[in-house]
Amino acid sequence: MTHRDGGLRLNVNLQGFGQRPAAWQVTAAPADAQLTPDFWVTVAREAERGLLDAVFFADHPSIGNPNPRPLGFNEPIVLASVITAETERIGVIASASTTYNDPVELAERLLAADELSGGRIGWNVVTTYAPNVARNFGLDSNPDRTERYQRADEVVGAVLSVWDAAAAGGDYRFDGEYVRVAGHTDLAPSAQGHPVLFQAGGSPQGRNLAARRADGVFAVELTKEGSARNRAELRAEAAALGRPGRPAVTPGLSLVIGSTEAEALALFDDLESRVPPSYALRSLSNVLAHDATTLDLDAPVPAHILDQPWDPTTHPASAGYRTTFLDWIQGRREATVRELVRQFGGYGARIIVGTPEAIADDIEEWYLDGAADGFNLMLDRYPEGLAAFVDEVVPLLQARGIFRREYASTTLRGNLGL
Amino acid sequence: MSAPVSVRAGRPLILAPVGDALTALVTRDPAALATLGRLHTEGRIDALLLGAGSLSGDPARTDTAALAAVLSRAVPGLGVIATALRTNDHPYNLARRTLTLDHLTGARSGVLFAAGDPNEAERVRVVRELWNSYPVSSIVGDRESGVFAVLDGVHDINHSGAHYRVAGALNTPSSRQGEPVSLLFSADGSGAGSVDIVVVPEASLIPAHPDAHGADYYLLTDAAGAADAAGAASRAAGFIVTITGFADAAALPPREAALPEPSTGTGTLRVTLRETLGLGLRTLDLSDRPLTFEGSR
Repeated sequence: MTHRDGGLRLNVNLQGFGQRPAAWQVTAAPADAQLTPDFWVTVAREAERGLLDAVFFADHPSIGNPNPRPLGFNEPIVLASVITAETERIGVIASASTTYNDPVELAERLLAADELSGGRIGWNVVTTYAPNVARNFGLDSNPDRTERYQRADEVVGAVLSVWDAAAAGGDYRFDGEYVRVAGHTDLAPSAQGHPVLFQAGGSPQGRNLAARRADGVFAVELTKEGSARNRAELRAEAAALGRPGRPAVTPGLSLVIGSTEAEALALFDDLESRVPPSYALRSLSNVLAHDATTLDLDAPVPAHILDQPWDPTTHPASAGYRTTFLDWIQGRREATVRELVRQFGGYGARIIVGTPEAIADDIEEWYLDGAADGFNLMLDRYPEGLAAFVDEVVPLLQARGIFRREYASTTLRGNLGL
Repeated sequence: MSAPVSVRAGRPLILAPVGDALTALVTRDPAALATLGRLHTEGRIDALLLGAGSLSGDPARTDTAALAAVLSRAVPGLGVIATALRTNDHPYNLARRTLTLDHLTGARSGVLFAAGDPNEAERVRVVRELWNSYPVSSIVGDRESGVFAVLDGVHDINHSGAHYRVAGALNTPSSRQGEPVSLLFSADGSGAGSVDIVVVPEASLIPAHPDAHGADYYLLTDAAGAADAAGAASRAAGFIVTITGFADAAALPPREAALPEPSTGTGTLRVTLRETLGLGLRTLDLSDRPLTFEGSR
């Protein structure tokens, strides 16, 4: 539903100290704050003060270089339990891999956290593409995308069989090609029944999984038209499968907020000046499928790189990111690499560097034009950037009638209107 | 207070709610939480072990790490011990989850393994190596130079064993207590050496000279067993006491030795679980393993 019914969906993606790599250098939080409960509780309470649906955690079970951007130190479901213990209404959406978890163990772990939270947990179903994860689990490489998603579909089926059993006597059984489980669970259903399902992959396989299973989708969309088209297709596919009105699509949206545009730009430039361009170039490399650090910063990306044929099944990084990026860059083929890197500050998601009014205008336009049900917000730094959003942007969205003035429910499912 | 003569003296007592007592915590029963808070404040318990009922075949009612995280907030300063009894729980996931719990409890957590499964010794070893693979001291947060972490102490564990192949490093930095406290339930007393604490169900299983084994031996018992444990249990370094209801907590033997002093008036003891239980700092040296970030800082 995309009209002035207060139904805008807003989550915040807690990427460590913030979306900008240099966030840790400017936030008031100490360097080790991510290893303390207080940092997360503080940020989550800010999100709850802003009446957001949920805080969101991505997850990669492998180590990444924390220079220059430290994030992903904590296992999201334990972190979710700390956050929900210290909040009342806000949901927590935890990513967990269908490739590297046992389905029953994962089902019970998520349901237990959901019960303890009073029904405020979401599960973002991810299949895990990061290439260095496999070797932590005894494999030489990740299964290819087709197999990952076939398995993901069965894992979701098996997880749901356990969750359904918790509400109906406890006996579960699921028979698939990759996953066969049968047994008895002694867990109880949560206040919302079981965790709400989300999905984030933008490949055809990922979108099919979303159409059949998800209540919410974390999309990567850089253009309003492309997003509107993808959202309509996805929801039509879901409707054809007997799931009308679902799933809600919330693209990522990076924000740097200033009281004037000049102030926002100065903040952005200060953050950019603190990290070497190599970080953004590595991100750009993932979507280009080419090592961007070899490119001339003051020339456009050569056409043969932009136009090289590619296979989404074997593309080593996110296929969804690459698809939306190729769409976006068509209008910028003459831009230099240096200019692209700056505009590519969302690393695949859109970025707005501007005033609360400009941000509210953009959110409202995408929402009312059917390009999005809402957004997965990525603030430049936490908690400061989120506090600015809550204080400056949320009231504008409320005044325009597109965002709630109070929580409707004590559960995530209830607050999502499901 | 007219306390009975205690055989427990200064030895630690870990409370292990099972059955209805565990369910009361899962459902966050206010009376159960109040009792738990009082036992902690009065110094009558040193930590909480969740899921001990699974050792005797109780079905899993919850996820013990999630419950431990919740209770660490409900009873600030209380040490919490989760169980790692599911062999289908991969060591990388287990190591990360338990180390996350350790950070988010302020280094007041532990993990109970169980001997018996043929994979278990290797599993404990892999988890411990992962816990040590990313020293928390790597984080320097130097805003002048823009260096968040110095990574020459981060090592792949490069484990290749009979049951697991795990590269590492873990993506969670190490514990502020060196490692989370590790416990191993052993029905026959075997398995010492790989963990901090061996938990046995019979006092007779505690060796005559337990120090020689490199681990403390704790006796798993009920409240009555702990109260009259003067005989064979006198060699126990501590007790894990099961209760099936929080009314049973009244029967817990009192403690004579004083607890460490709180540091400030925050109501939170700034003491690690390792310190509370009188255990030394514990780490594994992985310097013979490959650097995870060769040539990069």
